[in-house]
Amino acid sequence: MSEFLTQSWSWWFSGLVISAVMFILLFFGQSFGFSSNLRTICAAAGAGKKVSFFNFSWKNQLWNIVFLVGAIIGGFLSGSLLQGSEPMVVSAATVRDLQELGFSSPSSLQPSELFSLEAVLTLKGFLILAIGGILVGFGSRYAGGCTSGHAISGLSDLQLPSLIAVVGFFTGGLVMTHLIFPLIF
Amino acid sequence: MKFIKFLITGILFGIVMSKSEAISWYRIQEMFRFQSFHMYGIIGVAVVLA
Repeated sequence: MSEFLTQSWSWWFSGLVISAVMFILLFFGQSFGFSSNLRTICAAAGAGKKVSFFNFSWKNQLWNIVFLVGAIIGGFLSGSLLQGSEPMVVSAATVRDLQELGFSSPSSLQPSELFSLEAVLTLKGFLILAIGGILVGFGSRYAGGCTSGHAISGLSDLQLPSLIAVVGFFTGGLVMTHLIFPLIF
Repeated sequence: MKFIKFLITGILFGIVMSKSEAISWYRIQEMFRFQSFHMYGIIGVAVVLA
């Protein structure tokens, strides 16, 4: 059992648990979507006085902030208690492609070339994360949701706007990976 | 403590996102290069079951 929990979870088991999380939230009368927390945090910080978009009853959204805090704790628990000894297995083709762009083979979930303190403290590394963060924050609010709200909740509710948003996310990802990324690295 | 249930659900969500490696930059690269089924499998199962 403990080995089952510490190894990487298979795609089908992971998908099952994600839908269980959705079911639990629906059962409690809420719906699954992560980036609406960005709006809630801005509203709680007082942005509603200046911008009407943030002027809403954000206290009704506190459950989602608690959910977010839980997710951070959960991530910490899997990085500590549930950490397995097996290295991460990434498709050989991806490792080869990334090596051509100057990324060493994966040793943990995230590349140190992008997320280590040394990388963040360079101008390029800082700009990549800062611009990425701005785009994620702007885009997810402009579209009314991110991958969790649109791709998981929206698609499973057969919402056409969510399908359009997901096609947009995916197109953006493809453009970034295949056209822009090789220019940056 | 009406919020405790959301905290626990959040913890479960945080664990599944990291144990599934769905938060990994490498898995996202694999997905956009069409070199692995992993991410499509996770999203597909979650959406179909939901």
